[in-house]
Amino acid sequence: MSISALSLVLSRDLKRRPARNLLLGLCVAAVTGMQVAAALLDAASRRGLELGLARMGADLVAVPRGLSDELTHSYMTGEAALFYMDAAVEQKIAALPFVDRTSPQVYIKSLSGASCCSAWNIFLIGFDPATDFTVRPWLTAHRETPLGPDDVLVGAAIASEPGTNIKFYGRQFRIAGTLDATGTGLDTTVFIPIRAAYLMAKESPVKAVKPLDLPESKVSAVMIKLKPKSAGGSPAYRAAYELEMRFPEISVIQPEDFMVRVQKNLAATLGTLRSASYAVWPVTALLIGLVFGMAANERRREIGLLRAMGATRGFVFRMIIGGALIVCGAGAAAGMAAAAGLTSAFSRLIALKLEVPFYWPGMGDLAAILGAACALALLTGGLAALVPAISASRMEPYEAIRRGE
Amino acid sequence: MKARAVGIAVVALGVLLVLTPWVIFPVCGVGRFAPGPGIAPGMHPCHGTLQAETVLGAAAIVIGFIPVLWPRKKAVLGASLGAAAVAVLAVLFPLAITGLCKVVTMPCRLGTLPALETVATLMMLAAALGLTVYRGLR
Repeated sequence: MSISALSLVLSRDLKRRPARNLLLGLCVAAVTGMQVAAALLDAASRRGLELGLARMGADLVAVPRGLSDELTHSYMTGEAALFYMDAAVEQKIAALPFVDRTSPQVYIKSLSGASCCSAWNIFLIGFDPATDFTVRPWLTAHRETPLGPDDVLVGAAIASEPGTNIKFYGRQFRIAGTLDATGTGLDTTVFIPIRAAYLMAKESPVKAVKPLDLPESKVSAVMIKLKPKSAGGSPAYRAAYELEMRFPEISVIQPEDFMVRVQKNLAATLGTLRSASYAVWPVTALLIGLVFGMAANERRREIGLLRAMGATRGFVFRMIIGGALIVCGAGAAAGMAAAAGLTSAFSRLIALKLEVPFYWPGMGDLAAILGAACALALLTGGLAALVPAISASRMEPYEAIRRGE
Repeated sequence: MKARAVGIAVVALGVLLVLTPWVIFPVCGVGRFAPGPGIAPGMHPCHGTLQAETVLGAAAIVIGFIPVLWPRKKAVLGASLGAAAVAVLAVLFPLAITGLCKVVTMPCRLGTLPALETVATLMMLAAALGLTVYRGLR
């Protein structure tokens, strides 16, 4: 019997029990959806972390002692971290032999519900355009239009066009450009030249609803670039240890600290999703096997008649396996679409709640995740229906018709 | 029975469309995001979307009741086309007509928009299901 005959029999069989097939499809969709969601979350946070660390540009970040968690939280969520230390610490760090360059940053939070700020509760980062690493790629790419004293750069997630004005603490700034997306909290920050940030603070008692207390002798963090090993540099972990030993007033953050935090924040969610999926998986496989076994048993007479009309054992085998593969394939497609759609739509909320970066994986990674999930669903369906398919294909036509009556 | 099922699905999604911006994923300054005591409630740009979605949800509930009360072929067709129109408008209002707040970390962009997109997708699926049922009805 031909492929067209097989598809005809399969389509009639699937239409005959829509509720049963829908239930099986939903089980497969749930398993596949949970697996895809967990894999997407994992891949997206890794990619976001890579991009975020690349944006940060520094090998180490020095912050006031004991406040490293606040900074990692800010970088992940975009919520402002407000702490300050003596600006003189930058000179002390820069003087060390293993340090190549340093750049100061000050952190400010825009006021909430105040007419003197265009956007409320925004994380403002004051940076030094002459020494900064964080927005250096943008500055390098736009060498022909250097930043003016009141020009700011905004993260990719702030919906404001370059050239428009934005106001903080009553001071007007011009948006000079939008930075590339990283999937981290840096996408919702505004980068202000450090001089303008100090001026804004000085003018705030007159121009703003609430004054900003930020003396020029204070900075929030010092970004540190280490010398390469060949030029007498130290590994990041050793440099961090030495810095903390020499300057007890600072804590030093390494890129690994961000990775550890992301892994810690993700662990519970990924664990729950994967465990739920692993728990439902064997039940689904068992259900598929049972349902197709029962269906083959119910259809003894039909299978006997098909065999009597010339259907081969292979045809009957393909009919049972094909039915399982169609149900599992459709369920997997629905599960993958739902997981990818919901993860994509709620990505920012997920990133904020879990405090992890989220940058949608590239096409290669996405294809690998979806392909693996689909293959796994089809394999489950195929293996679960294997026993009923073999037993149905072994039935003798006469015996099957007689016992099916 | 199938005609009534389509109507019930549209009614349920209409209720979800009304509840989403008020309760489930409220827009800025509403529900759990309402300002605390003593703080004057501000008028956020997303409040236009809140009103539009409420009207659209109410319209979907009314449209969905037609095949529930009058399970005929034409009622299913009308409910399906109506649900499809509501689904399109439910996405168009926040994205293009009334709009949302500018900053992506605001509740209306974080939760309400993706939730409305999800409900609109389900509404479109219900409309497609309705059209399939319509073709099968005599």
